[in-house]
Amino acid sequence: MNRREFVAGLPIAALALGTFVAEDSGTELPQLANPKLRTILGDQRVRSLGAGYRQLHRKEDSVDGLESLILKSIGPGGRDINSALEQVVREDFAKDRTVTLSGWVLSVTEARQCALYSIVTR
Amino acid sequence: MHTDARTLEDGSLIEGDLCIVGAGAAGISLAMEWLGRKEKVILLESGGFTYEPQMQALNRGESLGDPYQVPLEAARLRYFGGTMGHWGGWCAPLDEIDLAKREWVPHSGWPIGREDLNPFYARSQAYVELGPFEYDAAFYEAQDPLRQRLPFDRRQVLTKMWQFSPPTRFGRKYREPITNAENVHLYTYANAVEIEANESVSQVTGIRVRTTTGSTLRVQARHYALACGSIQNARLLLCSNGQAPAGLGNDRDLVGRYFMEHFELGGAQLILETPAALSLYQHKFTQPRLASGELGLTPEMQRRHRVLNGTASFRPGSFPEEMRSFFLRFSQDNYGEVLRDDGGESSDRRIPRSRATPASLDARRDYQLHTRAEQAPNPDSRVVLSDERDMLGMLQADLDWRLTEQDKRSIRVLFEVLAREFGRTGLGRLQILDWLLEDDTYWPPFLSGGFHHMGTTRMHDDPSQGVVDTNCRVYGLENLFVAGAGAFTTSGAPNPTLTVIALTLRLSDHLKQQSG
Repeated sequence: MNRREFVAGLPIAALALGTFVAEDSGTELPQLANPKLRTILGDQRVRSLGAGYRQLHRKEDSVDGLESLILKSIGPGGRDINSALEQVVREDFAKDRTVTLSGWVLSVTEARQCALYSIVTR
Repeated sequence: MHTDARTLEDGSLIEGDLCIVGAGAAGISLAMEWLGRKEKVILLESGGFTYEPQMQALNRGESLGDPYQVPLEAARLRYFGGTMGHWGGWCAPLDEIDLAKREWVPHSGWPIGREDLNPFYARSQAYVELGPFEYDAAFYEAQDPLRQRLPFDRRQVLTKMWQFSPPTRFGRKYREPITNAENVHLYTYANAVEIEANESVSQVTGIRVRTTTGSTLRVQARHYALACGSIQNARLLLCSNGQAPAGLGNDRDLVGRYFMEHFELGGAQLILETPAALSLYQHKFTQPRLASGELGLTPEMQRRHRVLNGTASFRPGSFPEEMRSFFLRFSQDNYGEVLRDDGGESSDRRIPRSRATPASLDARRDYQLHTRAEQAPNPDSRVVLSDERDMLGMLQADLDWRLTEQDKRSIRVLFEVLAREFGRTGLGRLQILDWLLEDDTYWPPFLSGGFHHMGTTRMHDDPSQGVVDTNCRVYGLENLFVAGAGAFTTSGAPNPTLTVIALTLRLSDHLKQQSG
């Protein structure tokens, strides 16, 4: 089972709760693939925005690639991952690191989270 | 005093000290300033005291350029009170930056500043039944802890406050004092069709007036003030070609140019993370109408992004699948049915019921963001004479409205900055509507304006760039003045009524000085 297949097999409920931990998936992935944006825009819209992001950024279109980019944006560990994500999303907006998808102006980090979400829930 | 001009004999001569052409916001406030003085004021009104289709037809004209989706016949009103019958009561002054020379906005820069207008703005408040001249958001925050500004970066985003007139219907409010005044003589059904000048075209010698019953009258005065709206003022000047072939004040082909409107249309959808009432930003149609705010870019951000001024207002709910232009309400023949006020005792029929209910002010997550934006001054956006004539034999005015890429980009930048602030603060996310996403000159079918006709006789301190000087006097003519939004050099974003009155009061003071 490759990494994409493994992640795609994760239960959505686990992703939603952000509680799933698997040894070979890394501890952060379920949280990275669970954008807070879901609570604002809803699952379906977030999935669609994520798919849109992947279409625009083909080079990033993999679980590994997206995970790596998100982790890089939040920097070294040692912090609560959700707080770190929230912080970096706000910084993205402050520093105009944004993307526009179907008119929605999103932080590039949360857009990548949407993309990851769209992969693991398809 | 009041006379129906149709009752006067053909060839009658009317004489006075000041002749005001048009009895709308500018004409009536100018006349009111002269009540009880020794000078005789003649106030000419094209219509009567109520809406009449026959008089409205005199406004007929075609839209030649970008689609101005409301018939010109409906966009302006010909009766005592004028287009104030369309007015929603929104009042705010221009910002300082609106009057400044902005190197990124070609043709910008009034020859006067906000400080020159401030005393007149303060006086204007009473004409539209408002309290103090106070438009600082902090003032209103201090009055109510529940009505606070959004926690945005104030170096980027400002809250522009509006005050709301009841709205004052000038036709009703000021009819009695004007018709009772001994020194002000109102003539209804008196249509100015030509301004006559002396041979050297340095002075106006009279105004030719026609009635729909076929009479021709002549008015003579020391001073003349055109106050019949930006389109009609330009039309009248262009049609006055007895001595000047290109029309009066038009030696440099500027009359009619720089026509501006405000863009009023939906631009973005907001979804908040948690429901909020955004009370300071909620516009309540119910009385009393509290001052409310809209979001705009600070002057520094306008400079940085090289954009025009504009604001975004909040309306509860989400955009419908199919949006309609507010203008399209006027696409039928029954204009009288959609007026806010017809000069009679009608109520404000045009206020949508859904927006009048207190329930719509409850905390919620979805809001429509609508823009109210400045149009760049553009010499190609203009009023021109038609080949067609109206029933009085006067050439009609057509509108060649021209919009630019900067007009559209400015609106998008406003929403982009707001989107980033909603994201940065974690309050919510913004979706910019499709029509705004591209850098082009496409405008959607629901593009609307506010019947805010500005420019056409712009103010400038250089006669090669403007029609009127800093005192609103037409260059080259020592006794002809323009009152109203036609003198605006740039439009700013606020509804023009308060500025129209302020400029008129300033003109009035100047004319009083001239009269000794």
